[in-house]
Amino acid sequence: MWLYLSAVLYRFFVLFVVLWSMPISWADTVASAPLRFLPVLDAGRVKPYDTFSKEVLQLIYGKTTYEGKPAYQIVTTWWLQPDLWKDKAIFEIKPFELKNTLGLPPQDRYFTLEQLIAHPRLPDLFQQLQEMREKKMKLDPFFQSVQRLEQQLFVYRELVSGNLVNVLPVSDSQWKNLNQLNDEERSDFLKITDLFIQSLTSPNSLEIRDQLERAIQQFRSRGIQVDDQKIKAEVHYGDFHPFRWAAIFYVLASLVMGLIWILKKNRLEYGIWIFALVGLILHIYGFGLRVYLSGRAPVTNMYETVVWVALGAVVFGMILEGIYRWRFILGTGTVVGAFCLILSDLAPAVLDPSIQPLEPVLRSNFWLIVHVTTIVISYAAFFLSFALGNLGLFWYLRDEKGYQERINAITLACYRSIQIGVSFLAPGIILGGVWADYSWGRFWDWDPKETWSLIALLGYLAILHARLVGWLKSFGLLASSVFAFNLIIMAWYGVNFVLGAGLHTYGFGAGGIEYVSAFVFLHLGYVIYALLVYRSRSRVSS
Amino acid sequence: MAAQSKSPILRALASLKLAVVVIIAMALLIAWGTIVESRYQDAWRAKKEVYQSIWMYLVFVVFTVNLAAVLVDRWPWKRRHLSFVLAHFGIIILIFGALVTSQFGLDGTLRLAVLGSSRYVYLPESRFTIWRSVDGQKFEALVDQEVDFYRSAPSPEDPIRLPLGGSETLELLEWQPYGLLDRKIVRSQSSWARPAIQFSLKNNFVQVSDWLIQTTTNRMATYDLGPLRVHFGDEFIPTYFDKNEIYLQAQEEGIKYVLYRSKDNKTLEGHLRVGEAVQTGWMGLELRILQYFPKAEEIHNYTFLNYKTDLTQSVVKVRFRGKDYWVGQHDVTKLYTDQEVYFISYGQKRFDLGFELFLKEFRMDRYPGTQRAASYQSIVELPEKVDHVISMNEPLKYRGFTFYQASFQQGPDGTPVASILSVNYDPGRWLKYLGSLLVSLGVIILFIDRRKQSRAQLGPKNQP
Repeated sequence: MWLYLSAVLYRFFVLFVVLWSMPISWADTVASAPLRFLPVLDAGRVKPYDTFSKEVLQLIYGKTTYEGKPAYQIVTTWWLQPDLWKDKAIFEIKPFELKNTLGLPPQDRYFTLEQLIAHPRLPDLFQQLQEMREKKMKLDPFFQSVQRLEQQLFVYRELVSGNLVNVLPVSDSQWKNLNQLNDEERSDFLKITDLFIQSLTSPNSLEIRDQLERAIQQFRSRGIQVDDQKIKAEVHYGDFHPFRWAAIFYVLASLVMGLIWILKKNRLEYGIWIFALVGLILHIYGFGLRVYLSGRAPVTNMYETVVWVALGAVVFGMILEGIYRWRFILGTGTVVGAFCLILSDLAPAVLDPSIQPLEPVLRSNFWLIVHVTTIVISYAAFFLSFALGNLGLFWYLRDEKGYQERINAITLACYRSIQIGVSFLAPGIILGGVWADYSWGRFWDWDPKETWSLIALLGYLAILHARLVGWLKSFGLLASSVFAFNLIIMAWYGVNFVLGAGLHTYGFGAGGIEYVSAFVFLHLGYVIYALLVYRSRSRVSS
Repeated sequence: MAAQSKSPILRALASLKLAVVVIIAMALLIAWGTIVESRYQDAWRAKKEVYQSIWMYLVFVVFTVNLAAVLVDRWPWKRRHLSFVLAHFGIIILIFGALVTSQFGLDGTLRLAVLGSSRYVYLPESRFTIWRSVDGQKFEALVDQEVDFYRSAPSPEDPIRLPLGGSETLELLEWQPYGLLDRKIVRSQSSWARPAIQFSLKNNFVQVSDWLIQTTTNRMATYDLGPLRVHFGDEFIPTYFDKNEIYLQAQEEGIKYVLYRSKDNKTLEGHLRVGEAVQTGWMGLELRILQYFPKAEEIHNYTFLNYKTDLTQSVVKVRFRGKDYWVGQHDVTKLYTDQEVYFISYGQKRFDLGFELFLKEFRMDRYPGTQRAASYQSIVELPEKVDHVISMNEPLKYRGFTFYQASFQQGPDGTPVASILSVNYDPGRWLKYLGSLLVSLGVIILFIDRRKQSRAQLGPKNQP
């Protein structure tokens, strides 16, 4: 008995020392790395333990690393030695209102399990939340935050109890979690955890890494086979961050565009092309990986549409640049691409990057893929026209006469990208009708998402018609292309996050509204300012 | 531009100014519609108040006239007009197709209980019906009319009066779109009162308890838990023995029960007093009698929300013999006098298909390790006794109607109890497809033409 106790105490001690004293490095050469490749079943999908831990840590702690340590190490110690974490602040609570209600210090962002688990107000709040859910009421931001806290505590409890970690596949749909392992499986699994603990004390030991790898193989041989290729690819996808690299190259391409203007050296234009092409290849590579991992066209949630728009903006920039050779079109395209990719990387709570299983209506459907990709790619063209509009207004404000030629070129490029947008959006909406007819028997149902796509189309059609008869000169076209992009923001983001109603509920999320509003008002202000300057100038000149 | 010979009226109707005004008006109007829908979480309300409003029709009429006028105005058409003609003519056909659908089409839902059949498609429109009975057996319909309270709701100042024959009238006083029902069974002394029983079914996973109240003599009240049904009545009329059934009957020595297990074709009989329980031998479920009222009636109370949820229903306040009652949608209200009983139903308009569909089986796949549905399908039997599988994106086309798998209903234990099909008859469909095709062709041709044109304009030297 005392032997067992001392073994437990030793493990406890080792973990304690390791966790709070040593920095743990990242690379695959780290002794504990093989654990990342252990397949687990979570939320309806087989994924590497690495991804699973990142998602758990993201939900509870709000980040995918904890004090510089990788998620899989942290999350493993959560369920291996929960006592160590009792007084560590790992539960992220951001909304002030919730902290106030719970009487928690409002300046803190992270809280310990002890602060929350026995909190007298919580059962009452969770009860209210449950009633609201039973009555199918819409949750206000306060109860959305209560819901997140409930989920954080639930996931933590399930994780610690071992129920959440499904490690051993018995059949395609049946996996055993840590509590369901039989004695032999359990003893195999204990070898993994023991080696994991050893790996923390000697993080660079190749010997322990190999032993761990073998222990995992041994354990996995007790279940059915799982596609290792996909697991490896997903870990690689998580490590490599293809979209982050693409964003870096797009930023470089945009910087070259700036250099060309400052240094007036047109020969540098090849720099834009090279950086943009490298970025595009990485971008497509990342996209391909995601398609391979999810087994579907990856345009099914907000995050994926933002990444897709970034791709479209760069490609349309390349096409128009290839035709006109004005140097700024591709540069602007890469600005849009970089902006979207950085955005998608910055806000995982709003733009959820995790790969989720699909709702039944969206599964294996050719028309879905066609209609969504078509509509969303039109957003890319409109985003490009919006950026070009901003750029054009910028030169207007600097010196209308001096940059006349440049402004005319920008206006034409802007007009062309609106045309591209319309020629994708109109058929996209029609294809959406075909899909709805095919799936639901309704060609058009005034669903908010489709209605706002139509509003955006009407807005851009009004611009094109007004341009056709000469109502919109170059200033008018530039200003209205900036203004009209608000319709796209509404169709793209607003319907899901602001209106929050309708059939397309499977794309719903929450948050980010303050930033989007700031973006919108900033540009409205910019257009109004440009308009005032333009007006006063034309009054002076006449 | 238009030739001088054309009339000024035509030119005004064909003007681009009008087009832009109409486009912007339409955009604003439908944007308002999405806000109405979001505010009330109620798509039907947005349809009634905006998308099918007189304003919307007006905008569409002006839009169509404008499109037609501009086509006439450009006559005679030349090759360069091709994309323009196709796109504009396509939109006219699309609008015409939508009009045909809304006037002659049908779009409703068909609910098929598992191992049940139905021939009625429920439409979104509401209908108000009143039946009268003197003996509680035979009923006579007094009122049966479509109502549209979104457009014209009754108010205490301006009530709707419905004659019930003789000197009796029923007044509709008020309409609330989003009522939340609270149903209560109480003891009653009325001569029309019926027996009611409260039971519970419980095992380690499920616990349900509910009331069963008999509506008329000789008819059993039934509670459907999916694979298990509970019936309560004053005599046993075993229906089909294909499910697990529990029959309950009030007798002098207590509540008589007959349990039928379909698995091993066994029946079990006995008596239970209030508070007593019996093991059904089916999934460890225990049946308990919680309360029994020999004479009871149902009281309905509503609280009102200012938006729609899945549980709200619209409710009408009616006045009968000086007393006020709330009548909820999808719910039958009974009003008693000494001589007769009135059944008031504020329900959905329904459409008789003219044939029955029978749901043989409902299949559902879930994502591994979760309760989330991955796909589902209904196996229905057609009148010719032929089976057909309806699944997501694989509708059934039958006698002019199309049946789509829309959703399903779950019992308290998570097993599906009914399949919801969306039923559709759309004579305007081909017009909409034709219009879409023309618009798409127009856009494509426009694109090709523009490319040629711009290449011609710009020439080899195109540096800004």
